[in-house]
Amino acid sequence: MSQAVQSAQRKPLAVPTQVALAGVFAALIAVCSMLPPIPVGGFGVPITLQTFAVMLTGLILGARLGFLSVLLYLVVGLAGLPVFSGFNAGIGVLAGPSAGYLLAFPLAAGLAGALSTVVLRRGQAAAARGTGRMGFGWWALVWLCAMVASFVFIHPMGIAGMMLALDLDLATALGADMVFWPGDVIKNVLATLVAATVIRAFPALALRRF
Amino acid sequence: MNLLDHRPGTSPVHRAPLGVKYAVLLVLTVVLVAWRQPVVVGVVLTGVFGLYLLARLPGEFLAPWRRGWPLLAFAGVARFASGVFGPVPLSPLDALGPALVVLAAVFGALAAARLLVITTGGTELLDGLAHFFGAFRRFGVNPEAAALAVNVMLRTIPWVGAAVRAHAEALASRGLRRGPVRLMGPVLVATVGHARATGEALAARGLPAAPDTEDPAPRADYTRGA
Repeated sequence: MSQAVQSAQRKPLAVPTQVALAGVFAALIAVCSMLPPIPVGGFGVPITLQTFAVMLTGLILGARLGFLSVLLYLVVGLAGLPVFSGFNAGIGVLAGPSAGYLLAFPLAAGLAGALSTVVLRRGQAAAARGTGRMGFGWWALVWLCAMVASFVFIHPMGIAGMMLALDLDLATALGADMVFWPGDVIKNVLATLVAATVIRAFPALALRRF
Repeated sequence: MNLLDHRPGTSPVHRAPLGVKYAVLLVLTVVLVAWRQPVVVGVVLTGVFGLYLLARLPGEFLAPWRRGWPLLAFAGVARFASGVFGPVPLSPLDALGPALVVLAAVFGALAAARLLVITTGGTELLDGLAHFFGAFRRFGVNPEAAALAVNVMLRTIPWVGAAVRAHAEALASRGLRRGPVRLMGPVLVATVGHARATGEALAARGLPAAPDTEDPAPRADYTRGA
Protein backbone atom coordinates (compact mmCIF):
# COMPACT_ATOMS: atom_id res chain seq x y z
CA MET A 1 0.00 0.00 0.00
CA SER A 2 2.66 2.50 1.07
CA GLN A 3 4.76 1.39 -1.84
CA ALA A 4 1.94 2.20 -4.26
CA VAL A 5 1.48 5.67 -2.81
CA GLN A 6 5.19 6.40 -2.95
CA SER A 7 5.59 5.46 -6.58
CA ALA A 8 2.48 7.49 -7.48
CA GLN A 9 4.02 10.53 -5.80
CA ARG A 10 7.35 10.02 -7.43
CA LYS A 11 5.94 10.91 -10.83
CA PRO A 12 2.83 13.10 -10.46
CA LEU A 13 0.40 13.15 -13.35
CA ALA A 14 0.17 16.32 -15.40
CA VAL A 15 -2.88 18.38 -14.45
CA PRO A 16 -4.47 18.34 -17.95
CA THR A 17 -4.30 14.52 -17.97
CA GLN A 18 -5.98 14.36 -14.56
CA VAL A 19 -8.68 16.82 -15.63
CA ALA A 20 -9.36 14.87 -18.82
CA LEU A 21 -9.51 11.46 -17.11
CA ALA A 22 -11.73 12.69 -14.25
CA GLY A 23 -14.07 14.53 -16.64
CA VAL A 24 -14.35 11.73 -19.18
CA PHE A 25 -15.04 9.04 -16.56
CA ALA A 26 -17.60 11.29 -14.83
CA ALA A 27 -19.29 11.55 -18.24
CA LEU A 28 -19.19 7.76 -18.52
CA ILE A 29 -20.97 7.42 -15.18
CA ALA A 30 -23.56 9.99 -16.28
CA VAL A 31 -24.26 8.09 -19.51
CA CYS A 32 -24.42 4.74 -17.70
CA SER A 33 -26.92 6.26 -15.21
CA MET A 34 -29.17 7.36 -18.06
CA LEU A 35 -28.89 4.24 -20.25
CA PRO A 36 -31.89 1.94 -20.20
CA PRO A 37 -31.19 -1.32 -18.30
CA ILE A 38 -29.23 -3.90 -20.32
CA PRO A 39 -30.16 -7.61 -20.19
CA VAL A 40 -27.37 -9.77 -18.74
CA GLY A 41 -26.50 -12.84 -20.82
CA GLY A 42 -27.91 -16.17 -19.64
CA PHE A 43 -30.25 -14.71 -17.05
CA GLY A 44 -31.94 -12.04 -19.15
CA VAL A 45 -32.37 -9.93 -16.01
CA PRO A 46 -32.01 -6.26 -16.97
CA ILE A 47 -29.51 -4.31 -14.85
CA THR A 48 -28.76 -0.59 -14.68
CA LEU A 49 -25.16 0.34 -15.19
CA GLN A 50 -24.67 3.17 -12.67
CA THR A 51 -22.86 1.28 -9.90
CA PHE A 52 -21.07 -0.73 -12.58
CA ALA A 53 -19.63 2.51 -13.97
CA VAL A 54 -18.72 3.78 -10.49
CA MET A 55 -16.76 0.60 -9.66
CA LEU A 56 -15.17 0.53 -13.10
CA THR A 57 -13.97 4.11 -12.60
CA GLY A 58 -12.31 3.07 -9.34
CA LEU A 59 -10.75 -0.06 -10.85
CA ILE A 60 -9.34 1.78 -13.88
CA LEU A 61 -8.35 5.17 -12.43
CA GLY A 62 -7.12 4.06 -9.00
CA ALA A 63 -7.88 5.55 -5.60
CA ARG A 64 -7.27 9.27 -5.97
CA LEU A 65 -8.45 9.95 -9.53
CA GLY A 66 -11.30 7.45 -9.17
CA PHE A 67 -12.53 9.20 -6.04
CA LEU A 68 -12.22 12.64 -7.66
CA SER A 69 -13.96 11.54 -10.84
CA VAL A 70 -16.98 10.10 -9.02
CA LEU A 71 -17.02 13.14 -6.71
CA LEU A 72 -17.15 15.35 -9.80
CA TYR A 73 -20.16 13.40 -11.07
CA LEU A 74 -21.86 13.76 -7.67
CA VAL A 75 -21.19 17.51 -7.35
CA VAL A 76 -22.38 18.22 -10.90
CA GLY A 77 -25.57 16.26 -10.21
CA LEU A 78 -26.20 17.99 -6.88
CA ALA A 79 -25.63 21.38 -8.54
CA GLY A 80 -28.68 20.64 -10.68
CA LEU A 81 -27.40 19.20 -13.95
CA PRO A 82 -29.48 16.16 -14.91
CA VAL A 83 -26.89 13.38 -14.61
CA PHE A 84 -28.51 11.14 -12.00
CA SER A 85 -30.65 8.16 -12.95
CA GLY A 86 -34.30 8.88 -13.68
CA PHE A 87 -33.32 12.40 -14.81
CA ASN A 88 -33.55 13.61 -11.22
CA ALA A 89 -31.25 16.47 -10.41
CA GLY A 90 -30.22 18.75 -7.63
CA ILE A 91 -30.03 18.69 -3.88
CA GLY A 92 -33.56 17.23 -3.73
CA VAL A 93 -32.22 13.71 -4.23
CA LEU A 94 -30.61 13.95 -0.78
CA ALA A 95 -34.13 13.70 0.69
CA GLY A 96 -34.86 10.58 -1.38
CA PRO A 97 -34.13 6.88 -0.96
CA SER A 98 -30.96 6.97 -3.09
CA ALA A 99 -29.20 9.66 -1.01
CA GLY A 100 -26.94 7.29 0.94
CA TYR A 101 -25.99 5.34 -2.17
CA LEU A 102 -25.03 8.49 -4.09
CA LEU A 103 -22.90 9.84 -1.23
CA ALA A 104 -21.18 6.44 -0.89
CA PHE A 105 -20.17 6.26 -4.57
CA PRO A 106 -16.97 8.40 -4.41
CA LEU A 107 -15.75 6.59 -1.28
CA ALA A 108 -16.48 3.18 -2.81
CA ALA A 109 -14.65 4.07 -6.03
CA GLY A 110 -11.70 5.31 -3.97
CA LEU A 111 -11.52 2.14 -1.88
CA ALA A 112 -11.93 -0.14 -4.90
CA GLY A 113 -9.20 1.85 -6.62
CA ALA A 114 -6.80 1.67 -3.66
CA LEU A 115 -7.26 -2.09 -3.16
CA SER A 116 -7.17 -2.96 -6.85
CA THR A 117 -4.01 -0.89 -7.37
CA VAL A 118 -2.20 -3.20 -4.94
CA VAL A 119 -3.65 -6.33 -6.56
CA LEU A 120 -2.96 -5.18 -10.13
CA ARG A 121 0.66 -4.22 -9.33
CA ARG A 122 1.36 -7.61 -7.80
CA GLY A 123 -0.54 -9.37 -10.57
CA GLN A 124 1.36 -7.54 -13.27
CA ALA A 125 4.68 -8.36 -11.57
CA ALA A 126 3.72 -12.03 -11.30
CA ALA A 127 2.58 -12.06 -14.92
CA ALA A 128 5.91 -10.54 -16.02
CA ARG A 129 7.75 -13.39 -14.25
CA GLY A 130 5.44 -16.08 -15.60
CA THR A 131 3.16 -16.38 -18.58
CA GLY A 132 2.96 -12.66 -19.33
CA ARG A 133 -0.78 -12.49 -18.68
CA MET A 134 -2.60 -12.10 -15.39
CA GLY A 135 -4.43 -15.30 -14.56
CA PHE A 136 -7.97 -15.87 -13.40
CA GLY A 137 -6.97 -15.74 -9.73
CA TRP A 138 -5.72 -12.18 -9.96
CA TRP A 139 -8.93 -11.03 -11.63
CA ALA A 140 -10.93 -12.80 -8.95
CA LEU A 141 -9.00 -10.72 -6.41
CA VAL A 142 -9.82 -7.55 -8.37
CA TRP A 143 -13.49 -8.56 -8.22
CA LEU A 144 -13.09 -9.05 -4.48
CA CYS A 145 -11.73 -5.48 -4.18
CA ALA A 146 -14.92 -4.18 -5.80
CA MET A 147 -17.08 -6.35 -3.52
CA VAL A 148 -15.25 -5.09 -0.42
CA ALA A 149 -15.83 -1.49 -1.53
CA SER A 150 -19.54 -2.27 -2.09
CA PHE A 151 -20.01 -3.76 1.33
CA VAL A 152 -17.85 -1.27 3.23
CA PHE A 153 -19.43 1.86 1.79
CA ILE A 154 -22.33 1.47 -0.65
CA HIS A 155 -24.61 -0.87 1.29
CA PRO A 156 -24.13 0.49 4.83
CA MET A 157 -24.48 4.09 3.66
CA GLY A 158 -27.42 3.18 1.42
CA ILE A 159 -29.18 1.54 4.37
CA ALA A 160 -28.43 4.51 6.63
CA GLY A 161 -29.70 6.87 3.94
CA MET A 162 -32.99 5.00 3.61
CA MET A 163 -33.42 4.88 7.40
CA LEU A 164 -32.94 8.66 7.59
CA ALA A 165 -34.71 9.83 4.46
CA LEU A 166 -37.61 7.40 4.52
CA ASP A 167 -37.82 6.98 8.28
CA LEU A 168 -37.47 3.18 7.98
CA ASP A 169 -36.49 0.69 10.68
CA LEU A 170 -33.23 -1.22 10.19
CA ALA A 171 -34.87 -4.51 9.17
CA THR A 172 -36.96 -2.97 6.39
CA ALA A 173 -34.04 -0.87 5.11
CA LEU A 174 -31.80 -3.95 5.14
CA GLY A 175 -34.48 -5.90 3.28
CA ALA A 176 -34.81 -3.17 0.66
CA ASP A 177 -31.02 -3.06 0.30
CA MET A 178 -30.66 -6.84 -0.01
CA VAL A 179 -32.74 -6.69 -3.19
CA PHE A 180 -29.64 -5.14 -4.82
CA TRP A 181 -27.14 -7.77 -3.61
CA PRO A 182 -27.40 -10.27 -6.49
CA GLY A 183 -27.29 -7.45 -9.02
CA ASP A 184 -24.30 -6.01 -7.21
CA VAL A 185 -22.34 -9.28 -7.45
CA ILE A 186 -23.12 -9.44 -11.19
CA LYS A 187 -22.24 -5.77 -11.75
CA ASN A 188 -18.90 -6.18 -10.00
CA VAL A 189 -18.16 -9.25 -12.16
CA LEU A 190 -19.00 -7.19 -15.24
CA ALA A 191 -16.89 -4.25 -14.04
CA THR A 192 -13.94 -6.62 -13.48
CA LEU A 193 -14.36 -8.23 -16.91
CA VAL A 194 -14.50 -4.83 -18.63
CA ALA A 195 -11.54 -3.58 -16.57
CA ALA A 196 -9.64 -6.68 -17.72
CA THR A 197 -10.48 -5.85 -21.35
CA VAL A 198 -9.29 -2.27 -20.93
CA ILE A 199 -6.09 -3.25 -19.11
CA ARG A 200 -5.32 -5.79 -21.84
CA ALA A 201 -5.61 -2.93 -24.34
CA PHE A 202 -3.62 -0.47 -22.19
CA PRO A 203 -1.38 -2.60 -19.89
CA ALA A 204 0.20 0.51 -18.32
CA LEU A 205 -3.17 1.29 -16.71
CA ALA A 206 -2.54 -1.57 -14.28
CA LEU A 207 0.38 0.46 -12.92
CA ARG A 208 -1.77 3.62 -12.97
CA ARG A 209 0.24 5.08 -15.81
CA PHE A 210 -2.23 6.90 -18.01
CA MET B 1 -26.41 21.67 -22.70
CA ASN B 2 -29.49 20.27 -24.41
CA LEU B 3 -29.94 18.00 -21.41
CA LEU B 4 -31.41 20.82 -19.35
CA ASP B 5 -35.02 21.73 -19.74
CA HIS B 6 -34.72 25.36 -18.90
CA ARG B 7 -37.96 27.40 -18.79
CA PRO B 8 -36.85 30.99 -19.27
CA GLY B 9 -38.84 33.76 -17.61
CA THR B 10 -38.66 37.09 -15.85
CA SER B 11 -40.41 36.24 -12.55
CA PRO B 12 -38.81 36.98 -9.16
CA VAL B 13 -37.90 33.29 -8.91
CA HIS B 14 -36.02 33.47 -12.21
CA ARG B 15 -34.26 36.68 -11.24
CA ALA B 16 -33.23 35.64 -7.71
CA PRO B 17 -29.46 35.26 -7.22
CA LEU B 18 -28.31 31.66 -7.57
CA GLY B 19 -26.82 31.65 -4.07
CA VAL B 20 -30.22 32.56 -2.59
CA LYS B 21 -31.91 29.81 -4.61
CA TYR B 22 -29.44 27.18 -3.37
CA ALA B 23 -29.78 28.43 0.22
CA VAL B 24 -33.60 28.22 0.11
CA LEU B 25 -33.45 24.80 -1.53
CA LEU B 26 -30.99 23.53 1.07
CA VAL B 27 -33.15 24.79 3.95
CA LEU B 28 -36.31 23.25 2.45
CA THR B 29 -34.54 19.91 1.91
CA VAL B 30 -33.13 19.82 5.44
CA VAL B 31 -36.55 20.65 6.91
CA LEU B 32 -38.20 17.95 4.82
CA VAL B 33 -35.66 15.32 5.94
CA ALA B 34 -35.33 16.32 9.58
CA TRP B 35 -38.86 17.39 10.50
CA ARG B 36 -41.37 14.76 9.43
CA GLN B 37 -44.52 16.28 10.97
CA PRO B 38 -47.51 16.15 8.61
CA VAL B 39 -48.16 19.87 9.25
CA VAL B 40 -44.55 20.88 8.51
CA VAL B 41 -44.40 18.77 5.34
CA GLY B 42 -47.77 20.22 4.27
CA VAL B 43 -46.63 23.80 4.84
CA VAL B 44 -43.33 23.25 2.97
CA LEU B 45 -45.15 21.55 0.09
CA THR B 46 -47.59 24.48 -0.12
CA GLY B 47 -44.63 26.88 -0.04
CA VAL B 48 -42.95 25.02 -2.91
CA PHE B 49 -46.18 25.19 -4.93
CA GLY B 50 -46.35 28.91 -4.09
CA LEU B 51 -42.86 29.34 -5.57
CA TYR B 52 -43.99 27.52 -8.73
CA LEU B 53 -46.95 29.95 -8.94
CA LEU B 54 -44.57 32.87 -8.39
CA ALA B 55 -42.38 31.56 -11.22
CA ARG B 56 -45.57 31.30 -13.35
CA LEU B 57 -44.88 27.61 -13.94
CA PRO B 58 -47.68 25.88 -11.97
CA GLY B 59 -47.99 23.21 -14.69
CA GLU B 60 -44.46 22.00 -13.92
CA PHE B 61 -45.19 21.24 -10.26
CA LEU B 62 -46.17 17.61 -10.86
CA ALA B 63 -43.30 16.87 -13.28
CA PRO B 64 -41.20 15.06 -10.64
CA TRP B 65 -44.12 12.67 -10.13
CA ARG B 66 -44.57 12.04 -13.86
CA ARG B 67 -40.85 11.36 -14.36
CA GLY B 68 -39.87 9.82 -11.06
CA TRP B 69 -42.95 8.00 -9.81
CA PRO B 70 -41.21 4.60 -9.41
CA LEU B 71 -38.76 6.14 -6.92
CA LEU B 72 -41.56 7.95 -5.06
CA ALA B 73 -43.74 4.85 -5.06
CA PHE B 74 -40.82 2.85 -3.66
CA ALA B 75 -40.38 5.44 -0.88
CA GLY B 76 -44.06 5.20 0.06
CA VAL B 77 -44.23 1.40 -0.12
CA ALA B 78 -41.03 0.99 1.91
CA ARG B 79 -42.30 3.27 4.69
CA PHE B 80 -45.66 1.47 4.64
CA ALA B 81 -43.94 -1.90 4.99
CA SER B 82 -41.76 -0.53 7.78
CA GLY B 83 -44.92 0.63 9.59
CA VAL B 84 -46.78 -2.65 9.24
CA PHE B 85 -43.90 -5.09 9.84
CA GLY B 86 -41.60 -2.85 11.88
CA PRO B 87 -40.64 -3.05 15.56
CA VAL B 88 -43.92 -1.36 16.53
CA PRO B 89 -46.47 -3.05 14.26
CA LEU B 90 -49.22 -0.72 13.15
CA SER B 91 -52.47 -1.61 11.45
CA PRO B 92 -52.29 -1.03 7.68
CA LEU B 93 -54.59 1.97 8.08
CA ASP B 94 -52.32 3.61 10.68
CA ALA B 95 -49.22 2.90 8.59
CA LEU B 96 -50.74 4.69 5.61
CA GLY B 97 -50.34 8.12 7.21
CA PRO B 98 -46.53 8.09 7.76
CA ALA B 99 -46.10 6.52 4.31
CA LEU B 100 -47.97 9.40 2.67
CA VAL B 101 -45.96 11.95 4.69
CA VAL B 102 -42.68 10.39 3.54
CA LEU B 103 -43.90 10.29 -0.04
CA ALA B 104 -44.94 13.95 0.13
CA ALA B 105 -41.62 14.97 1.69
CA VAL B 106 -39.53 13.20 -0.97
CA PHE B 107 -41.75 14.66 -3.68
CA GLY B 108 -41.45 18.16 -2.17
CA ALA B 109 -37.65 18.01 -2.14
CA LEU B 110 -37.53 16.80 -5.76
CA ALA B 111 -40.02 19.47 -6.87
CA ALA B 112 -38.07 22.24 -5.10
CA ALA B 113 -34.79 21.07 -6.66
CA ARG B 114 -36.40 20.91 -10.09
CA LEU B 115 -37.73 24.46 -9.77
CA LEU B 116 -34.17 25.70 -9.27
CA VAL B 117 -33.00 23.78 -12.34
CA ILE B 118 -35.77 24.94 -14.68
CA THR B 119 -35.56 28.60 -13.64
CA THR B 120 -31.77 28.82 -13.99
CA GLY B 121 -29.87 28.83 -17.27
CA GLY B 122 -27.17 26.22 -17.85
CA THR B 123 -24.44 28.84 -18.08
CA GLU B 124 -25.50 30.37 -14.77
CA LEU B 125 -25.44 26.92 -13.11
CA LEU B 126 -21.93 26.30 -14.41
CA ASP B 127 -20.72 29.73 -13.30
CA GLY B 128 -22.18 29.07 -9.87
CA LEU B 129 -20.38 25.72 -9.75
CA ALA B 130 -17.05 27.37 -10.65
CA HIS B 131 -17.67 29.93 -7.91
CA PHE B 132 -18.43 27.08 -5.48
CA PHE B 133 -15.12 25.36 -6.30
CA GLY B 134 -13.31 28.64 -5.52
CA ALA B 135 -14.45 28.39 -1.90
CA PHE B 136 -12.40 25.18 -1.54
CA ARG B 137 -9.13 26.65 -2.77
CA ARG B 138 -7.69 26.68 0.75
CA PHE B 139 -8.34 22.94 1.05
CA GLY B 140 -6.09 22.23 -1.92
CA VAL B 141 -8.76 22.27 -4.63
CA ASN B 142 -7.64 23.82 -7.89
CA PRO B 143 -10.84 25.68 -8.91
CA GLU B 144 -9.78 26.25 -12.51
CA ALA B 145 -8.97 22.58 -12.98
CA ALA B 146 -12.25 21.53 -11.33
CA ALA B 147 -14.32 23.90 -13.52
CA LEU B 148 -12.48 22.62 -16.58
CA ALA B 149 -13.19 19.03 -15.55
CA VAL B 150 -16.92 19.90 -15.37
CA ASN B 151 -16.72 21.27 -18.92
CA VAL B 152 -14.87 18.18 -20.14
CA MET B 153 -17.52 16.00 -18.50
CA LEU B 154 -20.46 17.83 -20.08
CA ARG B 155 -18.84 17.83 -23.51
CA THR B 156 -17.98 14.13 -23.26
CA ILE B 157 -21.50 12.97 -22.32
CA PRO B 158 -22.72 13.17 -25.96
CA TRP B 159 -19.48 11.54 -27.11
CA VAL B 160 -19.89 8.54 -24.76
CA GLY B 161 -23.57 8.30 -25.72
CA ALA B 162 -22.61 8.18 -29.40
CA ALA B 163 -19.88 5.58 -28.70
CA VAL B 164 -22.39 3.34 -26.87
CA ARG B 165 -24.86 3.67 -29.76
CA ALA B 166 -22.18 2.98 -32.40
CA HIS B 167 -20.95 -0.18 -30.62
CA ALA B 168 -24.52 -1.38 -30.02
CA GLU B 169 -25.18 -1.02 -33.76
CA ALA B 170 -21.91 -2.78 -34.57
CA LEU B 171 -22.97 -5.73 -32.39
CA ALA B 172 -26.46 -5.79 -33.93
CA SER B 173 -25.07 -5.78 -37.46
CA ARG B 174 -22.95 -8.83 -36.62
CA GLY B 175 -26.03 -10.52 -35.19
CA LEU B 176 -24.62 -10.60 -31.64
CA ARG B 177 -26.64 -10.06 -28.52
CA ARG B 178 -26.04 -6.78 -26.68
CA GLY B 179 -24.44 -8.14 -23.49
CA PRO B 180 -22.94 -5.61 -21.06
CA VAL B 181 -19.33 -6.81 -21.38
CA ARG B 182 -19.49 -7.17 -25.17
CA LEU B 183 -20.93 -3.64 -25.36
CA MET B 184 -19.02 -1.80 -22.64
CA GLY B 185 -15.57 -3.39 -23.19
CA PRO B 186 -14.97 -1.72 -26.57
CA VAL B 187 -16.74 1.44 -25.37
CA LEU B 188 -14.33 1.69 -22.41
CA VAL B 189 -11.27 1.10 -24.60
CA ALA B 190 -12.47 3.94 -26.84
CA THR B 191 -13.25 6.09 -23.78
CA VAL B 192 -9.74 5.72 -22.33
CA GLY B 193 -8.33 6.62 -25.74
CA HIS B 194 -10.61 9.65 -25.87
CA ALA B 195 -9.53 10.75 -22.39
CA ARG B 196 -5.87 10.55 -23.44
CA ALA B 197 -6.54 12.61 -26.56
CA THR B 198 -8.49 15.16 -24.50
CA GLY B 199 -5.64 15.43 -21.99
CA GLU B 200 -3.16 16.06 -24.81
CA ALA B 201 -5.46 18.64 -26.39
CA LEU B 202 -5.83 20.47 -23.06
CA ALA B 203 -2.08 20.42 -22.46
CA ALA B 204 -1.45 21.75 -25.97
CA ARG B 205 -3.71 24.71 -25.21
CA GLY B 206 -2.07 25.39 -21.84
CA LEU B 207 -5.26 24.45 -19.95
CA PRO B 208 -6.20 24.63 -17.16
CA ALA B 209 -4.78 28.13 -16.69
CA ALA B 210 -2.37 28.43 -13.75
CA PRO B 211 -4.11 29.63 -10.58
CA ASP B 212 -3.39 33.14 -9.25
CA THR B 213 -1.91 31.91 -5.98
CA GLU B 214 1.14 29.70 -5.71
CA ASP B 215 0.11 26.23 -4.73
CA PRO B 216 2.69 24.40 -2.62
CA ALA B 217 1.07 21.00 -3.29
CA PRO B 218 3.03 18.77 -5.69
CA ARG B 219 -0.29 18.10 -7.44
CA ALA B 220 -0.13 21.34 -9.46
CA ASP B 221 2.60 20.38 -11.87
CA TYR B 222 2.19 22.83 -14.73
CA THR B 223 5.70 22.63 -16.08
CA ARG B 224 5.09 19.09 -17.33
CA GLY B 225 1.63 19.66 -18.69
CA ALA B 226 2.03 22.99 -20.44
